Amino acid sequence: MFVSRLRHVMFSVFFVFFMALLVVQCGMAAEQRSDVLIAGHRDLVPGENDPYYTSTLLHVWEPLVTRDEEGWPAPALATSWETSEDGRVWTFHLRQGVLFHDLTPFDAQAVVANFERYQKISPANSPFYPFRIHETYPGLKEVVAVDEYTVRLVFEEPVAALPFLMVNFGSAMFSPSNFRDDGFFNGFPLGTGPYRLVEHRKDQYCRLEPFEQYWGEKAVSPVVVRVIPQAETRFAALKTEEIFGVIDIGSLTPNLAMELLKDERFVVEVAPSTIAHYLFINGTRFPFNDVRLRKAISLIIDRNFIVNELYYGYGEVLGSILSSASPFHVPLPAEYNPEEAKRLAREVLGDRRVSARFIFPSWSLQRYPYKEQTEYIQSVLKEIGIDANIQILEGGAFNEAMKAGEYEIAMRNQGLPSAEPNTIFTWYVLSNGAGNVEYHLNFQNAEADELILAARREMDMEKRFDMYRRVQELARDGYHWIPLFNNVDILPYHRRLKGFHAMGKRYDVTLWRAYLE
Amino acid sequence: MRRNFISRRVVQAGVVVLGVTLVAFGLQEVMPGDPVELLLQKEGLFHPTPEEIAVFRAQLGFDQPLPVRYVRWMQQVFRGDFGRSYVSRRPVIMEIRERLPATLLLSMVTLLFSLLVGLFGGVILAVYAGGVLDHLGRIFSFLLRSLPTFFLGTMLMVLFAERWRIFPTSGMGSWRHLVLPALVGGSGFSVVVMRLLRAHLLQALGSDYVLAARSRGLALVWVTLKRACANSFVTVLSLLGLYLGGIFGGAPIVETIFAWPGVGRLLITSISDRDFPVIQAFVLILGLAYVGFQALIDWFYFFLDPRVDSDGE
Repeated sequence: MFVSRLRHVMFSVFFVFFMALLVVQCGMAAEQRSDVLIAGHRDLVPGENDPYYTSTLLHVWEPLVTRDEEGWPAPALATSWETSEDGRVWTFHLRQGVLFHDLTPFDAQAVVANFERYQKISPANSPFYPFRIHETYPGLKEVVAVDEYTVRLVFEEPVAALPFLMVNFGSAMFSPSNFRDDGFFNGFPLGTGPYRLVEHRKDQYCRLEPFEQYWGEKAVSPVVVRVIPQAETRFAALKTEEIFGVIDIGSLTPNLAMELLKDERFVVEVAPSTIAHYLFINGTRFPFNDVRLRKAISLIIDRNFIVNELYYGYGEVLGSILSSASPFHVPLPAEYNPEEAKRLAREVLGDRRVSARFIFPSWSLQRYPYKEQTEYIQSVLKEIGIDANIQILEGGAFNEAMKAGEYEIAMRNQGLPSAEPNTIFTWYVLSNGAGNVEYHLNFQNAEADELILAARREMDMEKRFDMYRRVQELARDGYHWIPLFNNVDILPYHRRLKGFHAMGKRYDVTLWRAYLE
Repeated sequence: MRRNFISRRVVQAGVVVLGVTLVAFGLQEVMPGDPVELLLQKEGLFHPTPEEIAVFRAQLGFDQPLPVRYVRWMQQVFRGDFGRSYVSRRPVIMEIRERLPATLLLSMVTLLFSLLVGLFGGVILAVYAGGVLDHLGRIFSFLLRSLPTFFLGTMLMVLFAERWRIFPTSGMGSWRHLVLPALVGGSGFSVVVMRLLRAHLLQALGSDYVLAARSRGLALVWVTLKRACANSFVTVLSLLGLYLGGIFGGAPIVETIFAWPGVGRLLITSISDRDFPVIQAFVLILGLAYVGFQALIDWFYFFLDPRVDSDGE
């Protein structure tokens, strides 16, 4: 009786499982293979409710203004631009003969429609760059189609650095037929790029096909970009030739890149990154409110050791608070002087030792050897009388600790929100800047404040460059935000993958030239 | 008696589900970090203005008092609507539905693998208790149980994918993609089943009814399979209930290592992004699944052994 009931139950359970298995398996399409298979750690296609739908790396859409390999604004869908003397009116001349993926023409009306969309969706969140119209186009009054291929932007106040703000994500263009009433997308993105998005499985892969009517250099091969979150798995997939290249930030950790180079089938290219690593010092309480101690912290750290030993040379020592990928970066020296550091620390602390809560966010561990990095810094800080207590905090907790000022030293990376550095100076250097106040950095410098505000209106590029140079010097001398080193983007790929190269400071690859030999 | 048993279980389940909804909703109050700011900051890349924060807060409904938000959320949930993801802005149910088939497929294969290895191994270890096989099995299961999933997954990937090229490293497509994730995901559960079954079988094999069967000349294997195993399956069944309850949560680590597009990965990213509608839906669905499967298992007990009385004993 009992056995027969049990048999009945077990049979039912297994039958249900097998049937469900069958149903689930039938519902899944097999991943299609393509000529070029590459991968990234995240889905580069966030989808229809993202302001851009895809990352710029996929070359599905194009902006009005892009950046050249040195980081300066360069023509894309706008071939040239000029401004009025007061910097309030900007005129953009558009590229002719360009078609969107739905074969409608790209013209001034399309640009106006895109700006109307910007107004609707802003502020819009994105895993790449949140779209905020008041920061990209501060005080925008109107957008006028002057003729079929000329657009005029009128502002309430002078916007001296507009092309810098518009670079890439700041001026993405899509077919006006691509928008829902709320401004987001009604289907796959219809850009003007060399690739069309033809298939997307969330968190699995996307498939790109060359757009035959592309106005410029046409894409060579279809591409499949897979999502492989774990760096070790991407490494294994490269070795097994399941993929032939890796893109996006954090493509491969430095140690894995070194390991990959032992295999002669692979090449690793590097490009300057907009991401740099910093120490943030809570300057609101003794003894860290003393600039001499903050300077001592900076001087005791051997940045070359970090770059060469922990990042295997995949990095660039940084002395300025502005990333070396910025065209306004000034290469200030990153001084390493332990004796001077000890002297300065003694001046502040005497024979005392102080404790410091040294925090960093856990998400950084997925991309960088932050544990080893903090342990190295902890060890050298001992030499100047600081006993750092390292704490790895989950992202939200890290943010909360910084805002509450419940830390002495914090380590974090920082990217550039645009090619125009005024934004980042405004946050961290301006006396009442959001980051400066929120994170309790307590940097106060009247000269820096004046320069940052004046640079916003300065139309002369050379003068603006000089202003930013001085701001970088002043900020460096405050040691409230200590630069450590600049990241480099690592681009590993198989030698069979031809035409696949890094593009300098553009955070981009020549995907459209890529093909498998 | 049966009606008492069932009605008590229903009331208990209701209380548990209510508790789960409170926990699911309360998470956003106790987890550190403001979701609005985290969303707008993008790992410190931006510093939103107070106006932007206020707009987003209102858009996401955070400007309302907690009880009001809870009641609204419950009303939505009763309509089968878990709200929209803060990150993707898509309905949460769609986000989960897209990934659930992958998770269910992997969970079912993992379960089958675990049960096959666990049941077969448990019987073998019990039959050969004290022998070389038993000792080897103990060492093997000890190792398997103590190895972290991440380490085991990476090791298997290095050996079976990178070195021997037998299985793919990652992704989803053919049956071959399932093997390594199922092996890694099922290793822990199979060991538990194996050890539990062995212990129960040894107890059963020493009992009077088995001795009586053996004294009538029945073979040990037959007695083990026919009599002792049948009685031990009830224990395995209760383990099964716990396992089934958890499958809707996916296996975040396994899914991440093997780039398996399941709900586990979604849960991990949702937690770091403070995407509360997704987290709340997960907690609630998981809670309901546990309660549902536990009720089902209880019913199986009742069905298998009607001596289970109204106290559930």
